[in-house]
Amino acid sequence: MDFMRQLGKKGGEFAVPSIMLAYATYYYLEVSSLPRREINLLLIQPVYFVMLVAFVILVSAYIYGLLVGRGAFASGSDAADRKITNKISTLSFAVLTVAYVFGIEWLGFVISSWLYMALLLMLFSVKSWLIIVIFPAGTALFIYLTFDMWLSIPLPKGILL
Amino acid sequence: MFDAAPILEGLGLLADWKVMSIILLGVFFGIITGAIPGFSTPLAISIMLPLTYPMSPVLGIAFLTAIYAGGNFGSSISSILLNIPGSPQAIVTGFDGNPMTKQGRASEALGMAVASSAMGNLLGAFFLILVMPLIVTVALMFGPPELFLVGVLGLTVIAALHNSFLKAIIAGGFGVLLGTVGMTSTGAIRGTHGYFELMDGIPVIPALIGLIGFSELFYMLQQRYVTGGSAQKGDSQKNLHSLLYGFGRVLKHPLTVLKSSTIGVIIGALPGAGATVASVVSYNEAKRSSKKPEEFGKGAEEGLISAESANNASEGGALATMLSLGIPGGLATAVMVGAFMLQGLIPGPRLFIDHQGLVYGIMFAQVVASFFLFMAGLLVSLYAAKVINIPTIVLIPLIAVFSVAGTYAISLQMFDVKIMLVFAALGILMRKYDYPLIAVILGIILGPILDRQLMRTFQGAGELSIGIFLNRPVSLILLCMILFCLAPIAFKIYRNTRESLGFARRT
Repeated sequence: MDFMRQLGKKGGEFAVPSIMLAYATYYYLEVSSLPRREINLLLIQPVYFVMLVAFVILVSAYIYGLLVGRGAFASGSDAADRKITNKISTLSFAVLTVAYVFGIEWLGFVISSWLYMALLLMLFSVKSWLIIVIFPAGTALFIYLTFDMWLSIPLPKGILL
Repeated sequence: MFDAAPILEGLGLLADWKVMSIILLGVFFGIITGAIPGFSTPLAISIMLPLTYPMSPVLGIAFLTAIYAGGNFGSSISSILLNIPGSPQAIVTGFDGNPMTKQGRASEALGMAVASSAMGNLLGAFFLILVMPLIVTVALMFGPPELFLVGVLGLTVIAALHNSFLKAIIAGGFGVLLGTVGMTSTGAIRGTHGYFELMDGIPVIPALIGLIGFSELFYMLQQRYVTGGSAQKGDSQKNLHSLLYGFGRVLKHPLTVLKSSTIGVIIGALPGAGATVASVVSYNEAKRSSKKPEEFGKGAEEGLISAESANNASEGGALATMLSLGIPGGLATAVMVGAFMLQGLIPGPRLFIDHQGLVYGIMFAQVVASFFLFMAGLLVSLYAAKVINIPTIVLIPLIAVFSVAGTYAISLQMFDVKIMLVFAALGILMRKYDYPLIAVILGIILGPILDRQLMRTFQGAGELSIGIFLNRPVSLILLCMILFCLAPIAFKIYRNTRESLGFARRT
């Protein structure tokens, strides 16, 4: 029971290798079905099998570690500092960013960037309306002038600017 | 025969006010961003990368190498003043730099850091200029099997240096597979999922910006200020005097500077080792050979000098590997490979042969950056306390919008921005569970090279067997080097297994 609890708690550890291996499997199968299979799989096949073996050892070592009561994953000190504590802000930031990226094509770079930055500042509890309005506007305009005018790299226009 | 023409051409490229200004700007930008904890040098380079697109190759690459040089020093500012390293390479600088601050010698320590950094950078640049033609001469003797093994060696070193070999192997393999996406030389289309934008492969720069830059913002978000402490502000006249005094103190330790820079250059040239390892090894060596080792960790001048000269000199070594073999040693040089790609250039031996003038120009730009580092470093150090206390609420929206605009600007496609977001999500998870980002990036960069060279090896020999690699002396040496890198891992696995079995038997 303790083993299952531990496994559930630390299951996130497997998220990264599982995503990578799932993609690798899908890719391997896709390339296998192509004509001239042996040429196309020349590099992909050994890389895939190395990944597969590494994944199996990683998972086995972890489960074995849990069974004998020792942590198999000794994360580096960097990873220990990498904790997301402010979950609401983080989630809001992620949602706003996705909305911003999809909104650029519709609203245009300047307006959507201004909106995005202003909303972020509000999310970060900035009280001054002057900062909320002026700072994003100045930044969006600066980027627009730098890219569009100076470097001649047109930014998306959308229905607005 | 010695040919001075490309050297003169390289110098000629620098004789332009625009190049000089961009190097100065890059050094300033690197120092300021490097001084902000959490704003790592690769992040600074990655957000500036798209701006180099409309620039000439020498202008763009000199700008990024100047940011690199500035960032290496800048990260030591917060390490000395607050004991919060701007980047990992400045951790060792804080061992003696922060005790000096506590003794009221902050400006002196900053002056010493500026001088050692600039000298280390200069020595690294000279190494680059001297050694580059030699490495290229050797690299040109490489055929497809050797080039394939060089790529494998790069990935092996990265994996061997990470604290979990298995995690690094999975990440590196994943990167290699991503690197093979797109249309192959045989006309096959692999893994594009119907997106024509992926025909040329996964766009490297959006992937870099997402993995390195954007994913970092989510962790920056967890703090109101990136720094927890507060730096002291003092009388600028007195500060300048102390800075110059510290500057002069470095000249009293020429051997330490030379030895540490040499260590820095050698370690910097190894893929994956980088500035952090260089500063640790150099610090240990300085302590071992010091007459007063007991003073290390309590404000020893030699400790600070050794760490700073080594981490800056490592840039020369890292650039030598990247320019001559096309293998980025770390995140910063990986972004720079992206900058070369933006200019339609591929780092490697052919770059030096086909664009000698440009490569010399870039190497001389390093020398110029070292001199600017002296001046800009002193100036920023005077106002250091103000620089490092920028709140994250200002930084995050700024970096986010710059990253999006920069990613879009590369090929004017929102598809790239979406790819950047996907890699940012992956980067968040990888950072959380301690998977090395550099392994994925190196895989994406090396994937197409490995694929091409393996195919050429296969076509050349008509079959693929280990004999192809064993019958060629250079590839045999490379194979031995790969085994040499793997030997400590095998030993560690053997020891851990034995310990675990013993532990299981006891319980």
